[in-house]
Amino acid sequence: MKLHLILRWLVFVTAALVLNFPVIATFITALKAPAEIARNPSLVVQNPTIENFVTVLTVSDRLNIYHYLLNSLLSASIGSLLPIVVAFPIAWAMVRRGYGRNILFPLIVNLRALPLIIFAVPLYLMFSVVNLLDTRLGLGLVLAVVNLPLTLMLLVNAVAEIPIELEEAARMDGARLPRLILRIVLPLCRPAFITTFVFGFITAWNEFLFGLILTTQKAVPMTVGASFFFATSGGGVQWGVAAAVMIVAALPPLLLGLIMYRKITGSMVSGAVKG
Amino acid sequence: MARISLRNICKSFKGLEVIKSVSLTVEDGEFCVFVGPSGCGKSTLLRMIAGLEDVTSGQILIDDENVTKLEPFDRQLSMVFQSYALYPHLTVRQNIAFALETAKQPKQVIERKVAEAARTLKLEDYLDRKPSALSGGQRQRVAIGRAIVREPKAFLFDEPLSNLDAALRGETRIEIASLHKSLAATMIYVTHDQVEAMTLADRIVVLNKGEIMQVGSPRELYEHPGNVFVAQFLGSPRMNLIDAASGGEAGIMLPGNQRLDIGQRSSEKISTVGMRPEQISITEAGDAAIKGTIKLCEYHGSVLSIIVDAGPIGDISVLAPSAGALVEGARVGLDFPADALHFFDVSGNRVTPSPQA
Amino acid sequence: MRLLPSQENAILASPMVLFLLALLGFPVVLSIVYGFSEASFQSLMSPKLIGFANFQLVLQDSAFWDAAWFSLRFGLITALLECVLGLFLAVYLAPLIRENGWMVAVLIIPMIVAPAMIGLMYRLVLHEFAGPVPYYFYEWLGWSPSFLSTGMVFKTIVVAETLQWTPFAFLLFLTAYQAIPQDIREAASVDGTRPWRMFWKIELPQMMPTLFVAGFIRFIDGFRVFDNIYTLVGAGPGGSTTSMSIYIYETFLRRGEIGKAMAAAILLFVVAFAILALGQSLMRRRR
Ligand SMILES: Nc1ncnc2c1ncn2[C@@H]1O[C@H](COP(=O)(O)OP(=O)(O)OP(=O)(O)O)[C@@H](O)[C@H]1O
Ligand SMILES: [Mg+2]
Repeated sequence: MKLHLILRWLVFVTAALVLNFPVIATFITALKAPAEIARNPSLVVQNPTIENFVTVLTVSDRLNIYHYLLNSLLSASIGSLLPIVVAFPIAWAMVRRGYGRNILFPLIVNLRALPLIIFAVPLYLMFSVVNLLDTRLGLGLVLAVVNLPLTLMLLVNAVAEIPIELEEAARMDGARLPRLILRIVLPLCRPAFITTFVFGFITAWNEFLFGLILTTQKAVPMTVGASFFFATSGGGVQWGVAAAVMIVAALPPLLLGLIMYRKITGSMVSGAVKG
Repeated sequence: MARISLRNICKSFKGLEVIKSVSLTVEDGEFCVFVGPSGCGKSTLLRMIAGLEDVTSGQILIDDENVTKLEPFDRQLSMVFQSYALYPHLTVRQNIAFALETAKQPKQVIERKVAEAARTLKLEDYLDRKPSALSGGQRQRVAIGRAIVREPKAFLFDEPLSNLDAALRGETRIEIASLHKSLAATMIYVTHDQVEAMTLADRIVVLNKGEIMQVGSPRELYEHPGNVFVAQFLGSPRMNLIDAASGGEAGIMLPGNQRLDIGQRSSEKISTVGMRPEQISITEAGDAAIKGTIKLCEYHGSVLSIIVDAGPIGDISVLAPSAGALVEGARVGLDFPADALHFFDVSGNRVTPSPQA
Repeated sequence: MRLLPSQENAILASPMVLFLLALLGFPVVLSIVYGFSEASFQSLMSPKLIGFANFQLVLQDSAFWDAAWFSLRFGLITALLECVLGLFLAVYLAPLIRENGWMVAVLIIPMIVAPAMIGLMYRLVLHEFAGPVPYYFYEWLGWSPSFLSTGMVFKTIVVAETLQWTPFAFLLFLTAYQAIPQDIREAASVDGTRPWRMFWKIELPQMMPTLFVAGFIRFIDGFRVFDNIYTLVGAGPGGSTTSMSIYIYETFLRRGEIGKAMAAAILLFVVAFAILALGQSLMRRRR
């Protein structure tokens, strides 16, 4: 019994270190001064410094990380809020009226499994026509498409969990559809909205392919911006700065995800199992 | 207040017929109770009146207005649900005020009505709580409060007491009864509890398998059950039923060639005889009409519940005063007044033997 | 004004339907037009219809078939590894996690980091001068493979993908494992069932549906892989890590062969759709 307990802890610690190894190693590198990186690639920092983070967070000609962060923030916000807005009404109709349950719902849920590149190419062409290339709005709209399937699924689950008697009681109380939805269903779905939003925001923030294809400068999101630091300009990659950039870039979804990990894991599982 | 009429209401779920041509009128101010075994269609019938369930065929009229096709919010009825269906995100006050706000009533009116309902239902101290912070009984009262503030044409209740414990159920039952008196409102109440039905109802509607078995006052149904189903459904323990056959001049014949005198009345058509346990008394075996041995004797405090094995006639249950000294295995006779007998024909319907010419 | 329920439904559905029509309907039309046309970035606005020529071009391109084979292999291998590792972690750590819920949070961190970021991190971690991995190889073994070389790169990206997404399989299995009613286990152990037998005969059968779901999802995700491979090695030395997604990306943006890229995308769509339909009908049959 005792032995098993120790073994289990050992397995957990090993798994935690190995699975998170790239993140840990990057963080350690970010704490090293440039001179130390060249000398000491090991995982032990001799003189920890926040120099790299200072460089990253200071605006300079070569680098303005706030630009990328803001782009990501805005496009990911659009990309996670818009699907909630458009999917919520139909989620109700699907659950309570069975509307679109047989064709529309499976169709949209299956979009989730398609390779995104399929959409990327035609969307590029379309955006070049309607002038949405390299705009935050354009990127946000596409991220909304990416998030739509899971959002719809989570909202359908949320509406289905509202006891039908509550809606019946409201109808007996004289509420017509708009009031029923706005005053009863909407408030009761609020926890689901929060979970869905956080999940969608993380997904949108982490998206890379569309950022790569649909933006070039003005609307470049953080994931794509981070990769610029590896494009060796002149004197090779500045590893410490690059590492710090990655940590900063990964931090917003990480914080959100860790604060809400119970909700997030819950939606991941239900998203996977019900699909 | 209003009068509600059902005309040949039928309801099918995917071809399965659940309500079979029900016609009924609930008078203005009447307290009408639907009873019946589980799955007989009580809730379905009530929900059709509410407008929550479509009617397959037939008509529903409220005050002679045909509302069959109207949405629930256009029928001006209130409903109290078994689960109470309180809005969990709203306070008690907001719950009660919801319907009034929906109807866009002026603020002062809403406040006054909510305060009034809260006073009636002793909810004043809880108005700002959420339903999750209330006890079962308080939730139940909020649900009733939500129904009464609207001053609806009629109240519908679907097993409103079944989630309460026994003591609270009794109390709330009395409250509902007094509410009915003070509001003089039309109420339709669904329950499978016969005590609730007997005590609350002006009129009881007994349903079975989607059909009305009998409609009448509690006393009518109890004393003159129209058929075997009603006879057995009301009353506890259930009415004893004994197979019988006409014995011509000699009254009726029970199994085992036992003769039963029913006075100077025709015994034609009788195929079942019923008698309520509390109307039977235990006597010396002597020359009683029915004799048997006590098989089981349960002490219930005020009464003894006895089962007598009457040979070929079968088991007969009897309620006797607990004062008597009866022991299991004793040989006893069963005595009952002639007018305590109920007679039913082959198809289970009541027959009243006519005096012999 | 009184609306019929069907009208209400249409109104409720309209935001999403309009949104989808705008963002997917139009592109679908474009895909089809360009898939059957000859077009480059110069002649973008004047595509010339050429029938099935693009499809012919794609199907005759050996790079397309290499990419398809790569994606298939990558998807299958990573899905298998992730499921095995995830299953082991879930079942072995479950008793520990029952008392320490936070462990789940630690183990799912890789999933919350962008795959593109993970790809970039491996560039650093595996770098021959700055990276700790080669450093420790030299330190301890006196030798280090060059992880991104033609011979090694496939293994490297398989490991990278597996380490990032094992947590997903782990999470699904953990949930399924915890959902097995405790009394079944108790009944079995009262009957004298040993842990190993319990796993094979009682727990694993209960988790079978989840095993299929997890394997399927991971396969689909591996099959369509782009971000982490692209940021780590791009198309790889000699195009050795060109997945289907990367193939289409390169055809489109690098080489500007729009028609061909569209045709490949349409083919990929058909293949992906077929896999999906097949997988779902298989799963439905098992239920
Ligand atoms: N939505 C539905 N779809 C199909 N069948 C239904 C539906 N609602 C009710 N039924 C069936 O209709 C019959 C009557 O149901 P109903 O709920 O009215 O019974 P009840 O008398 O209220 O029973 P209980 O005392 O258990 O509440 C039952 O056989 C039930 O299975
Ligand atoms: Mg019922």
